[in-house]
This record gives sequence, C-alpha cells and structure tokens, in this order.
Amino acid sequence: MEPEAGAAEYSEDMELQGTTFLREVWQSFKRNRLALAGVAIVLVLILVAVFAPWVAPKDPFKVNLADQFLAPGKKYWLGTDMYGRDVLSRIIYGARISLMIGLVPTLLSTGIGTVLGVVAGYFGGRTDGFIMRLADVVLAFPSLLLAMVVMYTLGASLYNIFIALSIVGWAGTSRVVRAQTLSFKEREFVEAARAAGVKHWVIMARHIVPNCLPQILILITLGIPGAIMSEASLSFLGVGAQPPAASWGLMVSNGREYFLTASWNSVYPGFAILLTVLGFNFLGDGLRDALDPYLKRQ
Amino acid sequence: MTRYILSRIPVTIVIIIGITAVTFFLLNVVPGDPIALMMKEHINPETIARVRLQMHLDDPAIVRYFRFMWGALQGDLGVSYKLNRPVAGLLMGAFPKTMALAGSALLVAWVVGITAGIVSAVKQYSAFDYGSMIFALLGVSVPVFWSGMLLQYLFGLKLGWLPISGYNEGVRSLVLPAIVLGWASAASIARLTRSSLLEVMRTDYVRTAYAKGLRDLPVILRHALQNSLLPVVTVMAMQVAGLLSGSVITESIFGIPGIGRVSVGAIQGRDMPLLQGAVIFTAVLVVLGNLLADIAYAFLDPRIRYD
Repeated sequence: MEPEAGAAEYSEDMELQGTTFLREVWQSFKRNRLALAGVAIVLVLILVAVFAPWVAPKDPFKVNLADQFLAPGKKYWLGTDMYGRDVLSRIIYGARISLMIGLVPTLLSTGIGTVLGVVAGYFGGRTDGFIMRLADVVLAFPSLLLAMVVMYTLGASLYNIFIALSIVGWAGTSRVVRAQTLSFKEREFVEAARAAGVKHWVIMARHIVPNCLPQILILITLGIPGAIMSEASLSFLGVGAQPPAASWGLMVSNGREYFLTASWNSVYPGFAILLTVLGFNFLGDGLRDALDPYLKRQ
Repeated sequence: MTRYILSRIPVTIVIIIGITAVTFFLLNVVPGDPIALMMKEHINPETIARVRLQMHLDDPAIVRYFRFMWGALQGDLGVSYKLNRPVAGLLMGAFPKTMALAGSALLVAWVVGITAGIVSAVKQYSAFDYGSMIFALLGVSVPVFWSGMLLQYLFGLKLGWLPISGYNEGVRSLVLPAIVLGWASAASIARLTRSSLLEVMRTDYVRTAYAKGLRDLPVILRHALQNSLLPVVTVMAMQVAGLLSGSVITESIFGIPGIGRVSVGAIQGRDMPLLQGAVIFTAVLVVLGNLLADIAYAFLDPRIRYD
C-alpha cells in the first residue's frame, strides 16, 4: 500500500494490493451520490471552459449598445448587460477564469505548503519552529484581508490573484503535511532508508511525501472552491479581475447597480459561482469520505 | 490552569509581532510615492520633500517599522492619508459595529447550527437530516455577496420587513447581515455537531444512561451533548478568522461602517496607514480570539492542561 521506493522488487502481491486500494476507494466514492453529482458538475465545467469559443452563442466581449439590458429571451438566453454583451457567453468564458483561479493558486500553494511542511516535520527543532510560527502568522490573517493587502501592493489584476492566493493558502497545507511527516518519520521504512544512508531530501521526496499524497489530494480538492470564492470576492470588491474580464465576481458586482431593472446581470453569474463551488465541495467531501478508512489505517 | 495560560502568552506575542512585520513590509514596499498620490496634481517638489521629511518617509524601512511599533505600543497607529485623522481613533469607532455584526452572526450560527445538528443526529437519515445537509452544503458554497443581495431584495424591498442597508435601526439592521454572515458557520457547526453527537451516542456511558431508564431528551441534552460540543468549540476558534473575512464583504454590501468596510475603503482610496492599521487590528483580534478559545477548551477539557 505504501509506495515503498526502497523495496528492491515490485512484487505482484504489492501490485494487487495497490489496485485493491484504488478499487476500494472508487467503490466507496461511487456509492456517494453527491460525490458523483460533484464529478458531473466539475466535468461539465471543464468542458465548457475548454470549449468556450464553440459553446458560447455570442462574442462575450462584443459591445452592442442597441441591445443594452435585454431581458432573457430567444435571442439572448440569459439576457444582456449594460453594454449589450451576452450574459450567457460571459458566464461561459467566466468558467475559464474560475477554473484557472481554482487550479493554479491551489496547486502552487499546496506545493509550497507540502515542501515547507515536510521540511518542518522532518528536521524539527528551529526550522520547524520558524516555519510553523510563520504559518501561525499567515493563518491569523482573515484570508480575504491578507489577499487584499497583497493585491494592494501588487496592483489589481488576474495574474496577481495567483500570487496573492498562493501566499495566503500554503499555511494550512504545511500544518497537515508536517503532522503527517512527524508520524512517518518514526516508521520503520524511513528508519531503514536512513540506516542505508539515503540522503535527507531523497527520504523526504520519495518516502514521506508519497505517503502524504491522499491527504494532499483532499486538501487540493477542497482548496479549489476556496480559491474560486476568493477570486470572486476580490473581483467583487474591485481589487481582483478588472473589466472587461468576464469574471463571475466582477459580473455580480457590475450587475448589482442595475439589480432592480436587470436582475439577470448579477443573479446568473452568482448562481454559476454557487454551482461551481458546490460541485467541488461535493467532490472533495466524497473523496475525503472515500479515503477516510485508508487514512485511519495509517 | 494559570500555568497553561501563561505558557501560551509568549507564542501569542511572537505571532502578533509577526503579523505587524508581515503587514508593514507588504504595504511599505509599494512602488510609487504616497505623497504624490495623496496630493495629485497641485504639488511642487519642495512640498513633497518637506512632507516626506515630516513623515520620515526617507528613513530605511526597518527604522520606520520600529518607529511604527513604538507608536503602536502607545496606541498610535499613524494618521490616515485621506481622512487626516488618527487611524486608531477611526478603528475604535468602527470596532463596535464589526463586533456587533460578528457577534450576532455567531449567535445565528450557534443557535441554528447546534439545533440542526442535534435534530439531524437524533433523526439520522430522515428528511430533516437530508434537508439540513443540503442547507449546510449550500451555506458553505454560496457567495456571501450574492446571497446578501438576494435577501436584501426579498426581505428589504419586496416584503419590506427589514432595512435594506445601513446601521441606524439597531437590531433590525443586523438581522439580514447576521444571517448572511452566519450561514456558512451555521452549516459547518451543524455538520460537526451531528457527527460528533452520533459518535458520543454510541459510547458506553450513554448506553448506561438509557439503561437507567432515562428518556431521549435528558440523555441527549445532559449526557451526550456536553461531550460532543468539545470539538465544536475548537472549530469556533477557527471560524473567527472566517467570520472577519466574511464581514469585509457583508459590511460592504449592507453599508455597515465597521472595520471591514474601513479596509475596503482604505484600499480604494489607497490610504496605506488606514489599511495597515485595519489589517493589523483584525489579525490581532483573530489571535486573541484563538487564545480565548484555547483557554476555554482547556477549561472544558482538563486533559488538555496536562499535556
């Protein structure tokens, strides 16, 4: 079950165990209807984002003042905004921003958090103290506020959100990975590797981190909706994506002014955020439940 | 107990120093001259030089940091660029409003969350259980600025039951913001109470209580609930930060002049000292909240103290 790199031969028996593990997880994941709904939502989202130019009925950036604020109908399924742009097409293109924001900063911050967490747990002592105090400091900031400060310094743009959310997000991961490292550090396979003279970083990279992967996977799936929500909030407050970007948060914010006369401008993009975050949460919860017996056995 | 509390204090101080350093250096590496930004067009170089000297802006960052800290220890967080008033005073004015909002949101979260959690656990797999599960999942997934807007429309405008925004109608102006802000916390509290209570219900001492002939209600309320709320207390500590994050947006939509709105205003007006003060103030609040929760936890669960 443990991806034991130190083992000389990869016996058939182990391979069998490996497949049983995956099958077990999949079996229990499959039984969870909400998790499957989550997979469906996320798949649709990915397809829509990738094929946006073909899926979108109109050009999402094309200004057409003659068609300003048209209610949802045959020509524009979800209506138009103050510049006569098609709301549906903008929501479809917005899926690209949300997915990218969900994935890139989450992967970055999980990566940073994993490295720092494993280093802290493995070496202990002052290194550990320093990294964990830094994590405490980062976790003390309400995440949105820290992200706002970083955006203030870097300037509001979509790419700076990547940096802001990575700076904010690593601390939680590092705590979890550190805790896991502490428990693996004492185990026989790590001791054996150390006795055999394997270098520290090899032990960390090949013996400890692979064993933390299930936890890391859960952190990633549950980190994605958080990142998406943060981007939407930053853009809503005006310090995230800038016009004319088709960011859902920005669309809700812009549409808010015209809520009474053209509610579709903010209602539908907000619903898109809800559905996306819900989908990823279903998926993450399902994954956590499916991996739970395995994590407990560890 | 006293020893436990004392042992926590040095760490807390280190974290607070860390917070001030991170905020200060993040905000003071901003390119561009704040004075030029402040005065816009009508500036001559001499004035800029004079103001820079007055504000010690030509000193190295580290010197300015220590000067800032020295002031902060005496309750001086600098002067707002835009409003030209002491930051500390502005924050103290906004603080009670944020506390009122966060407090009422917490109240909503606890009352709704714990009640829903208990009922779901007792009536496991019932329609109510599924319903509260969906309620919880929606709560953690809905964007606050969107649900807030919809509630404003429904209860403020359509039905006219509650004020749409502002802070002039006392408790009534806090109802909608508290619901919007408390929903996500209520959701996670409900789920945690449910799973924790289900676990406790399977223990021997609960079975003993039933064996004594006690009815459902006393067993749940007097025996099981007390122990199952322990993990909920820890989560509450973690939620302080989340609540204050959420209040940034909630205050902005509902026009509550609290710290969150001050922060957003400071960003929009590029008012560095005000933003710096608001952020540090909020983060220190979170740290103190965590400390209080740790102490409460140790108080409730003696095992922690002797670790």
